[in-house]
Amino acid sequence: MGSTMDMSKYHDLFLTETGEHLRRMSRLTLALEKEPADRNGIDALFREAHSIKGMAASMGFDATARLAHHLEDLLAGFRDAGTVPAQGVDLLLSGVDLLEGLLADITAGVAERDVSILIAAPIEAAVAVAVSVEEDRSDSPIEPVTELLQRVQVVIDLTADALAPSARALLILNALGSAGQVEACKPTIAEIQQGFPVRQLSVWLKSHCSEEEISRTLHGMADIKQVSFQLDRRKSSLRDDDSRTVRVRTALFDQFINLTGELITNRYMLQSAARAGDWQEIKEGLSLLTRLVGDLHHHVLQVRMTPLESITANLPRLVRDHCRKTGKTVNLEISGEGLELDRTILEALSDPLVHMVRNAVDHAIEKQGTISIKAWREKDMAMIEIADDGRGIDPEMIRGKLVERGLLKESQAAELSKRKLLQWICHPGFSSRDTVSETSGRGVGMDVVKSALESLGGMLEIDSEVGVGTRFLLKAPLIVAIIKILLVECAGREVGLPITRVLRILDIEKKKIQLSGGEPLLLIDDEHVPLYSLNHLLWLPEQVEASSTVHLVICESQGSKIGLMVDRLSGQREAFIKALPSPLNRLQGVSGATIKGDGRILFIVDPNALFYDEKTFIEPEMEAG
Amino acid sequence: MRVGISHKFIMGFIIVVASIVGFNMLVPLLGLEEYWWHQVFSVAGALLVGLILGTLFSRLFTSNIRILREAAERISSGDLSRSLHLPDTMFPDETYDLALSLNNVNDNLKSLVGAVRSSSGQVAIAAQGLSATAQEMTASSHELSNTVEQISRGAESQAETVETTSRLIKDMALNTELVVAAAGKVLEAVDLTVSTAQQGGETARRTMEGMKQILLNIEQSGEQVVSFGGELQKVGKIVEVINAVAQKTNLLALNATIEAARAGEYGRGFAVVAEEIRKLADSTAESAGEITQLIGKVQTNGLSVEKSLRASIEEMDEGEKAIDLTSTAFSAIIDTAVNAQRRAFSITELSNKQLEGAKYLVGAIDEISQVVSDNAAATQEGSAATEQQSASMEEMAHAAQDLTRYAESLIDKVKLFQLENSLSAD
Amino acid sequence: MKQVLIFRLGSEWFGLQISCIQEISEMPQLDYIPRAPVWLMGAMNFHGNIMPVLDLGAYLGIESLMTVTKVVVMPPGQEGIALGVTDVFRIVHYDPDDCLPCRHDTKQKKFIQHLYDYEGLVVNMFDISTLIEELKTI
Repeated sequence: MGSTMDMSKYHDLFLTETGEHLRRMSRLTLALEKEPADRNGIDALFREAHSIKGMAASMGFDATARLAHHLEDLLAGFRDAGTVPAQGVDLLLSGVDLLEGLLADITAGVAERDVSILIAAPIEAAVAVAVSVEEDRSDSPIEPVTELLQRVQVVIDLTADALAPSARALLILNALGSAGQVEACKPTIAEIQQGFPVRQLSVWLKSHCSEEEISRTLHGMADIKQVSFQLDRRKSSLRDDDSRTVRVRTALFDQFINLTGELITNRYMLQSAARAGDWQEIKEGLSLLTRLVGDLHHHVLQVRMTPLESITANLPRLVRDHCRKTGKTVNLEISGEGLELDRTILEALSDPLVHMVRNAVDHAIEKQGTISIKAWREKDMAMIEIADDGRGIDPEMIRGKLVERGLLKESQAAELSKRKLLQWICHPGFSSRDTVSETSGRGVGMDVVKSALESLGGMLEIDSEVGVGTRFLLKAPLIVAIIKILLVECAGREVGLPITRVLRILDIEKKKIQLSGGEPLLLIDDEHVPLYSLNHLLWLPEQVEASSTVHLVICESQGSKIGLMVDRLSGQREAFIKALPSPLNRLQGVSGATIKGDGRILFIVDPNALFYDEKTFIEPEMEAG
Repeated sequence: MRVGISHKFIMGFIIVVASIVGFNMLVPLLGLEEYWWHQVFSVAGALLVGLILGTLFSRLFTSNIRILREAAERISSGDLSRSLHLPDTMFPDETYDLALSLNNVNDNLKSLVGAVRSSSGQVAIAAQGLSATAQEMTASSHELSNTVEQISRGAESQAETVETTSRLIKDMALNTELVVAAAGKVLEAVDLTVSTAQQGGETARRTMEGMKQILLNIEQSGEQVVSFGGELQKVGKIVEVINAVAQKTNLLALNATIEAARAGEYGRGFAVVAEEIRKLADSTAESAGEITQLIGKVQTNGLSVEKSLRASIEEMDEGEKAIDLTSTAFSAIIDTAVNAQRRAFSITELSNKQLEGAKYLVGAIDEISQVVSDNAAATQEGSAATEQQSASMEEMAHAAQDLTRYAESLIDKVKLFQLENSLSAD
Repeated sequence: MKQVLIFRLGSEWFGLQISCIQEISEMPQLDYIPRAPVWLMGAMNFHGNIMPVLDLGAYLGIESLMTVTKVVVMPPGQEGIALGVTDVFRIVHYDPDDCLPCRHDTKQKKFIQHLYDYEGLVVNMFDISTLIEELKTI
């Protein structure tokens, strides 16, 4: 048991490093496609393949080592020839893909897939194989690595009168094994073997088979009451929690050791001071502790800083594949890749970025064009701009669709400015319809992009000119977590609002509030701002206190101002925001939480999402009407 | 240059001799051959020179003497107003000295007479004043003697009045003594009342103290019961703590079991220990529960004891209140008696003071009468002395008048001297 | 042999495999969770992890007004929750031979795998995975 533990430690390291090598290989190969005679490029590629071969061999992943060795041989041949033929590039890329597939297998803890076809094939045949691999990939290009196989959760309920449920469960597992790879099951195989009385069996299966096929496999087996399928939510968490590693510079690590040493000294100092009752000494010790903890925090955050390159490295390949598939010619320009951001932010930005680039290739650019990605830093925010010179978005078309979809009344839609109209493409009620995506020239999922960004405390700006192009500006914090929040109280409960969401804070007299169709309104700067009670939005009782003034927090939501009425404003603070664990992360409108100095938990409410929920809530009514 | 008279004679003589000699030598020069002629001429010349010189000299000399004589005569006649002056000369002699001395005498006399005159004038004035005063004194001395006589008559009547007063006061003192005796008797009676009342009060107080002591004892036992209850509660608290510890231990044991299960085979031994700890916690909790029950029982008993004690305390309180009432009545009596006593006492005291005052008054009056009779005698003596005094006063007035007369005659006499021109003109 | 924690919800006894328990603790101070369903009592700070505390009695509809004195914390990670229970009893070894079948006809019984007889005490063996799966759909 101990030895496996040790191996698993290296296992993680292997996965991380191999992943990096593969990313570099992919980029180097793409560079070679443009400059086939670059000797240095070939050499660098060779070194990467060599590294992977060495590591895989020492870890005992034979197939990976063999494939890497094969790529090495290929590269040696290209080096001797002095150039890489076009087919060679395809072959190398398919090799890299296959290596990624192998890595995915290793990550998932299943047996490595077969590599012999590629190795055995001569170059021509290999290219054919490569193309076939690519065809596979195109089904799910966002997840080129892990989505090769479908992952499903199969829940099998056994009948209550099953005679030997454990044995039956094992039989079921065997049957499922024939349809795909059993990744995990609940109860575990070990538990079943120990005679756990199984009533329900949940199996996480990685399979090419569709749900019907799997059902068919189980059909006819005794004792099965019901078979159901669930979308696998474990997928992301598995990847997030289990295999994440961080590489730390030795110098930084040394600083950690020094700091820890200082902290230990500090502890002794405080202990002896506490024993002697020396307040002065205790005070000094505490101030030292404050400094040390501050340093430690700073360094820990530094460890988390990763260059943007780690998520943009895949993009050239993505663009290439899509161009190949769609027959377009797209030039991708990336600059500012060295910008360092917190890992969590980068990971959260990764999918949106891929998504937007893919959309640009698929929909914005008609035949030929340029996509440019620029990244730079402004104060504490990272700016990532994704611009294309494609057809652009027609605001009038959006206006029309809004009315057509029943999302807005005609009069309301007519009032909207171009900027506000563009923001609507991020509305789930708008962009989730495929038909719209085709006609609007924009793909699905902009709502995902926007919410991902907003959950980080970031923002999305959209600018577009018909016939000139579209420009998305992603503003994200560099460091996760520390954001400023406004503390408000509702019915004695305290919640935080991100300051970035707050436009201003107002104390107004009750009598200034006007009503429009039963909804309270306030005139601010010649603009009618609808007011909402935060108590009501949070499902809390309204305060009955007869106060003549109302505390208002003015926020921006969906491009327009709204006012939130709160019972009390209780200050502001900087807070280290923690992502919410499941199931709390499914609470609509609650974007995070922070642990205060006294250990109490404060939840962060995103007024935007609260409001948005209200909107979607009333949406069906409008459609019905 | 001073040249004395004798010297002047000698000079003249010499000059005569020299002229004889001179002529003898000069005449031959005239050419006269006759000797005799020579002689004649020489003698004649010498005689001439001598004659001239002598005349000149005597004339000068006599004039001075005359002046001196005139001055001396003036002085003797009492004219002191002028001083004498000799004509100036180249060669003053003894006459000049004499003139100087005469002038001195004149001056001295002049100042002496002036002094006598002024002082005798003053004496005369003083003597006049004196005599006037003496006369006045004589007059007042007479008046005095009259008055003294009157006084001596008044003193006699005063002595009589004082004697009457003294007699009256002595009567009063006698009456006062009678009052004092009566007051003393009142005081005695009051004293008796007070002491009797105080005895009653004391008895009541003692009874009450006894009661209170009993009450106190009961309360103390009550408190003991209560504090015992408190102690029990403390024990209860401790048991609560023990219970909490047991619960925490139990929780810890459960968590230890979970951890042990997680550690798998390695945790087996640990799980056993955890189980033991859990059992320990269970039995601790059980014991704690028993103690809690016991405490509950004891507390119930304690409560009933406390209740009955409270009832007796309440009854005792009633008795205490009754005694309190008696005691209050007694103290009211005592208060009244003491008040009476105080009054009686103050009356006695006042009459005593009065008596004392009367005695003092009698003494004082005696002294006064003594002083008054003494006074009368002294006044008579004074009267005689005053008369004597006025007699001598008259004598003195006479003497003063005499003195005035003497002084006036003296002035007249001094007036004979003429001191200054103005005076002589008078 | 498996071990189960026996705990009480109102007047019913439940059993939970200790392999799904991270820790048992006293009822901590809870903090308000905005827009939480009624059966979420609040959030607790579990060693720096934010963990919702579920009022299991209320969730199962057993006894909504029961007092919660202990929380049973699931391992943080995929679905980190803590179960508020009336009280915990003890951890016992579990003998599958003493299992009795259970009928799954009500909502609450969906979570009961079977019944277990521990020294005369009827213990409902709680199926935590069903609960977790159900929570995912909420």
